[in-house]
Amino acid sequence: MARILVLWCPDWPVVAQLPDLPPDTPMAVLERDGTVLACSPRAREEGVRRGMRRRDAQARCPELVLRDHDADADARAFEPVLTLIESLSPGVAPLRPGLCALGVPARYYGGETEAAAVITEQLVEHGLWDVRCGIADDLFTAEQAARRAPVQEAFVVPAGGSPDFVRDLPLDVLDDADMVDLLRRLGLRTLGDFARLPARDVHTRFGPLGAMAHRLARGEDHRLVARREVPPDLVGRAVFEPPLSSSEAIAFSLRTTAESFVAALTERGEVATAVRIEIDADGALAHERSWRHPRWFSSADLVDRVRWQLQAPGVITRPVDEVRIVPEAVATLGEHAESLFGGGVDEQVERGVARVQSLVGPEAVRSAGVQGGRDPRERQLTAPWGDRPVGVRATEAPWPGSIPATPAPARVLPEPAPAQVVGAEGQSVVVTGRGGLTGEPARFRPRPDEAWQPVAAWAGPWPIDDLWWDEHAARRVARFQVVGVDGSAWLMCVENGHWWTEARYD
Amino acid sequence: MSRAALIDDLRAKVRQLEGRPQVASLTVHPALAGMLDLQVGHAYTVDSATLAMLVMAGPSSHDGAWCAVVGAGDFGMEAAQSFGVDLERTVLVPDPGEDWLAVVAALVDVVSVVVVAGRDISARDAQRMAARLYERQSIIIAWDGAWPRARAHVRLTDVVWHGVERGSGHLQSRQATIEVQQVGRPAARRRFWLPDGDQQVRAVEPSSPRLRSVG
Repeated sequence: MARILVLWCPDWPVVAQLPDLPPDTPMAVLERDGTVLACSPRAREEGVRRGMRRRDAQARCPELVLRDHDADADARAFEPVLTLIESLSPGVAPLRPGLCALGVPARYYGGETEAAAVITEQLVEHGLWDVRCGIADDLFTAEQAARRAPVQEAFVVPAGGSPDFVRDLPLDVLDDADMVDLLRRLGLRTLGDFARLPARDVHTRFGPLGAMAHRLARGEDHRLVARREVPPDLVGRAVFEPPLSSSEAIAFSLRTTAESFVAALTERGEVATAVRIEIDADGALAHERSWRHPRWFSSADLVDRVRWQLQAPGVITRPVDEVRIVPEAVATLGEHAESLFGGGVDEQVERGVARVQSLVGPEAVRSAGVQGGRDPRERQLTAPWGDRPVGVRATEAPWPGSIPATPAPARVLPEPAPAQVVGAEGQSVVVTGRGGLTGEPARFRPRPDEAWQPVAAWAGPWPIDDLWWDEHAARRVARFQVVGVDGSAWLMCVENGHWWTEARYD
Repeated sequence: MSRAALIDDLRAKVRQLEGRPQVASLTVHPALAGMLDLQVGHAYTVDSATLAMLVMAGPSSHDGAWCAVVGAGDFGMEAAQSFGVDLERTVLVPDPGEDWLAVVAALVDVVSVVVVAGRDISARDAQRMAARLYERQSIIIAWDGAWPRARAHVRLTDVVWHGVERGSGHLQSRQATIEVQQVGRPAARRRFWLPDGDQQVRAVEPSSPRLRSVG
């Protein structure tokens, strides 16, 4: 049976940010909500802990250096580590920044401990001081073993020893706070206690996730190590000597790079459908961004993307000395063969739209679609042209609180416009707490730039408690349809006594 | 042969001699058939979003044409889809900025139908655009804006909504008159369900005398 080695670099968010600081700096990386995500050993000595608030951490250690967490930077900093391990043993699976798994190359290095030692040594030479390895039959046990290994050493769980090793571990290692809490209240303390419960009962009570955790607790993790696909060395590079600061000049000199990038892929029978463009200034990464293409990138498309990226405000602050085009997603030519032999009109449209994008900016040209949602604005689906729209809600799902089956409004205001609705005596009409109206709407003005007119007919209110489960985001809204005497029909809503126009049935 | 037909005939002959493309037409929505024909190379004005969608829908669903909508941040995509516009082949430029004419010109090069919302164009620019439209076999739909020398003006009048009363019901259907004023033709008017209770667009059957409105 294949043995698995898990390599763990503790406090990776800190390590990723440390290179520009002396190693014994007390430092903490903060989550977005201001709590400590990770801290350096020195800070830990001073009493800083994970989950602590910024102020408390500073109180314990006044000279603490605080940094915001940058998940991308973590991943980026881990990349050279993966490459280094790959040079020793192919097929590394990154689990998350700071943690990766691989099959133990024991035979080649003359033993499991030896293999771990060779890898550790390489990483220490690379400048990583805190590296720990765990070796076991399965992924979960190997990870737990790595967490128990001393600095720069390996903890080896012998073959068949997984159940014995995990038995004494506390439940917290399961990383599912709700379930751990419940199990504790059931009087269970260790994974061994949990493992003794009958598998069938666990599945009945906790569902598939619980069953999965139960398998882990029994030391039977059958998850396979998904190997990282070694990225082909197809990065297109353009080095500018001397550095350039005009986007047009850069784009112009990038043409041959883009052409050879596409040619190199074509030679392998592939095309790029997503690329990352990295821009270096003063020898350091200054800006990067991923671009997707609805079909695949031609060299002209790549030059366009580089130009757009450079033209975005704040990207070129210093002269650029290198631009790299990194393939993020490639597809085989076979899947795109049709478009290669002249897809005809659609390809032409793609090129023309790219020209419009270079006129008005890539984000200003958008695709259209429809998604699920309660109000017309939620149902509009749009994304920058070429990007895949994200966050699509099913149109068919029931949307409680949506307005009854009605023709869709032809105009949906991107932002609700302030409206006014008054009763016969000019008094403002609002919705009461019980969902009734304080008076009958008689006249209205749908937008500040429209004229007042009498109400011919109206319907509503349809009350909506949006996000009632979230105290802060919750809003009480009631919707109305209002028809004016000129035949115009409007969708309006009342929120806290204010009227808004949301859409027009034009 | 009438004078107009004779001129058309002669024009066609001249075009043939010049080797320029024949005058082609795009498909109109079945509801508008007979009232409006969408000859390429021309601009058409509409005064409501529904009409813009209705005119777009013909080429989009029948000819597989690509459409672009410029300057409409409030374009209701679900409504467009319900009229038969294929959103997969629709490009939106909600905010084209100052240089909207350049954007429209670039779009005319590649898509068959360009909807321009809320913009007025000068007679000179309109003429230049017409040459381009003709060259590229496309049309422009000017929605809520002046377009000199447009080939037809389509208007929506006498809108009546059904289904909503004072405080009850909800909008279900609407009747409206579509009026087409095409150059060189008498104005055409027809009453439509836009849409009817089943969300279909169809002409209103001539009502029996018993039900005729006397208001």
